[in-house]
Amino acid sequence: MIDQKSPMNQNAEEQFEFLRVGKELPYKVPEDFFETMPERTLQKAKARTVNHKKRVFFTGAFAVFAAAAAILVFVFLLPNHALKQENQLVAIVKTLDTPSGNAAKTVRPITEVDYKKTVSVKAPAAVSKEENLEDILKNLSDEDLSELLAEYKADDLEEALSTETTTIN
Amino acid sequence: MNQNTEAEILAMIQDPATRDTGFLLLMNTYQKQLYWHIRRLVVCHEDAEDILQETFILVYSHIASFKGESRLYTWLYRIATNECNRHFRNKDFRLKREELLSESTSELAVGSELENGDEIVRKFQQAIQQLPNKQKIVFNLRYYDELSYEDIAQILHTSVGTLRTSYHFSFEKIKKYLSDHD
Repeated sequence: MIDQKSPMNQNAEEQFEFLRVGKELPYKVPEDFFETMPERTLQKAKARTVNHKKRVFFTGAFAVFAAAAAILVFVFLLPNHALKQENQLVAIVKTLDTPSGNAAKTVRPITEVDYKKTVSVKAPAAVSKEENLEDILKNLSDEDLSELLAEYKADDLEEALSTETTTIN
Repeated sequence: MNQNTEAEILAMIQDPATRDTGFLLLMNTYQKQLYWHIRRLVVCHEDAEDILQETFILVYSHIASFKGESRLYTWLYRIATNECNRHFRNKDFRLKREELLSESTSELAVGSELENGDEIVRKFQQAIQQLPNKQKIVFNLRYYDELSYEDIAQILHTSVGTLRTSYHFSFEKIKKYLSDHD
């Protein structure tokens, strides 16, 4: 532990010794401090280990719960969002189909039931409607769709649609 | 402390059946050395007690991560020194230190912790307290604990050359303080 003292250190210690400092310390320690310290520390260390384990467990449980909640939200909200977007597109397309542009009266938003029908069972009547829509959508480029959406917003079509939808309902 | 005893203590701590006994043995072996190392740095007994306890609690929970790349006692000194450094950054300690260093109250502040000893011993401690923390640590480890520069380099993650220079500056400052306050 102690290495060969360099001349510099020897000199330093000699000088401190000359000053009669030595290595004495002027501090006091309470009685029994060193006797009781190990046991007290061990108890604290054990208690903290238990608390740490509990904290790790609860943090893990919370993380799992949060992940599950996020998955559920994703699963339930995403189809509704897709349905909403499709309704918006159908409304635009139908408006454009009529020459007078007054087709808002015929527009009926797709309900969840309709959506499920088109996804799962394709009834003959619905097929022609879907094919028609698909054909139109196929012929539209991305630019056309964005343009339509911009027009749709600019012409306050949304307002007209919502008024009409309220009337129909 | 020889390598065999260190190895025995480590083996006891790493075995769940003898973990507590090993830990108590470890504390009984090193607590005095570490306590005085801490006490010389923070002066106040209560602070030293808290830091010592925290040091051994950290040892208890992290002993599995000790790879044996350094000696056990240098690892313990490193944890204790890190805890002291953390304490130095504490706002309350900085205030206390400012009070300790102010010329008008230094006798009183240090005097309250200096229970006995000659006048020269008290002055020597005051001189050490004037040093910057890093120099104070190096000086104490070298002068009081008589650790080799290689061991201190391991504890403080620094080079031997830097330590020698640091010790030299500490010595010069202490000497100057003692001559100024003679």
